[in-house]
Amino acid sequence: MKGLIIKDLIVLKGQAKIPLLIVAVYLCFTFFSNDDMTMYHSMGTMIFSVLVITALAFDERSGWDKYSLTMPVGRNAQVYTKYLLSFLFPFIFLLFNLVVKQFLFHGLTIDTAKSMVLVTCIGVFYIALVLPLAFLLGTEKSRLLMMLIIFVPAIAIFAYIKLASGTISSTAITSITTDFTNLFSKHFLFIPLVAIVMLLLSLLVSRGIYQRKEF
Amino acid sequence: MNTEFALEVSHLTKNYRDFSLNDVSFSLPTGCIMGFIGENGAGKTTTIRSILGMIQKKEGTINILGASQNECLPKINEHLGIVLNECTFPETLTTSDVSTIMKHIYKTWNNTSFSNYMDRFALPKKKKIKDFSTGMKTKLSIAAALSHDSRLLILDEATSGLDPIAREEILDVFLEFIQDENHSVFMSSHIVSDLEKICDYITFLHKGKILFSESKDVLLDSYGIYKCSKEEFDKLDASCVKAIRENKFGIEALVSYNQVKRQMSASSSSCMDRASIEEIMLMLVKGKQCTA
Repeated sequence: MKGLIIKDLIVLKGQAKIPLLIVAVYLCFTFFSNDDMTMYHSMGTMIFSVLVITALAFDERSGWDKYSLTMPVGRNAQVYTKYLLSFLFPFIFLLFNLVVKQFLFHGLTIDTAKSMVLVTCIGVFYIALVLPLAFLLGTEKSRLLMMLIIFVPAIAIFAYIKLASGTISSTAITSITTDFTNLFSKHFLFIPLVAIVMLLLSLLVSRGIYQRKEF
Repeated sequence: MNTEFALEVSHLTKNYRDFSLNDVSFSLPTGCIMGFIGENGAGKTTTIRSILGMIQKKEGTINILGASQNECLPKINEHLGIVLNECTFPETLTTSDVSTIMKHIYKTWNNTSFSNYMDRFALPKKKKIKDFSTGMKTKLSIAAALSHDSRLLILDEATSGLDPIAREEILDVFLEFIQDENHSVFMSSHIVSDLEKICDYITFLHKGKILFSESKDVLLDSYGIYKCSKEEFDKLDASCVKAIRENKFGIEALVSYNQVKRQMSASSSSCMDRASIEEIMLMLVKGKQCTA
């Protein structure tokens, strides 16, 4: 498994230069413009969450996925490697940002830390959904499907609010938002827990898919 | 791990909607090279993928280096050298990266051996694989397959994209590999002349079925191409004819060489030559098969 991790890191080393540059530019921009790291952290988490899908796409394109089945590592190791990296990248990014926020910006508050953890959890949720699909359908199809899963409800909600703007008052929307915020604050500790459980369940599903997959 | 057979495939069956591998059986004795031939779509790659556990077989048993495939994969892969019909390393890697990765995958990875193959094949260490030619990619795959404790080399159309000089170079490497009596090679190829040059055994797959799996010397001794007129052909004992092709000059038949030799009269205008593997293959696929 160590060899597979090293392979993914070497492959991604070449691919991560531009995303890292974008993240670095955003960090500088955030540092000099305002103190709010939310946008920078959200964007960075998104980039680091999808890196593992890029590694998977490289495996598919080169045929490494089937070649690695001829190595003394086993099918499960292929799946474990991807999950380990998909968890590590956003997690390390979160730790890095918490440290940066504490020491480079004007200190870390509980609310900021919570919102950053929440964003990381959303990244983990995304990975937990997309990885089984990627193992089942391939990265291209799974990316498309994930876009549909994410954007169709988002567009539907947006369209509903627009169409019903006359019937729903802005106070009602603010009230719903406040309710959600309160709910998240009250049960905040459960969110990382749910993210980890989802990732583990996703791993079990992916392992099952990969065991049966034919190359 | 000394076993009589490096690879034993028995009654392998795999069904797809439009194609089936049907009761495929053959055995590769340890220390030998077996050529696996057949037309495009005959099922060679499907057979190799079944052996390597990439696809799930419907029926049949496969023993690799004396152990059952179901129980020994993926452990046994430490002793298998695999070259697939495409370079399967991500194109952004260099050969140095390949070495770094492989030494963490194979316990028996030998950096010196890999480096020697890089020098021998004149492969650059810093260049990315995407800039390699087809021949260079194949050589890299072969170098990787030979740089750990491989006892059985399995190659799927590995030499097909190479020029004759590169092929000759690769065939020499296989012959060196086989000098160790515990080493064996199983290779599929379209280039029958290559197989004829180095193989001890030939297995011929046609439309998912094994037509023969035999020692090359036995094949070359057994079969002849008999060219004669229709009248002379009718005089032949039907049991010695395997397949025929008719043309405007007469009949060309794949026959049992020794049997027909005995039947041929000195005054006959017909002639017979030993059949090459390619001729046997063509006659069995393109000719009209005689079952008598």
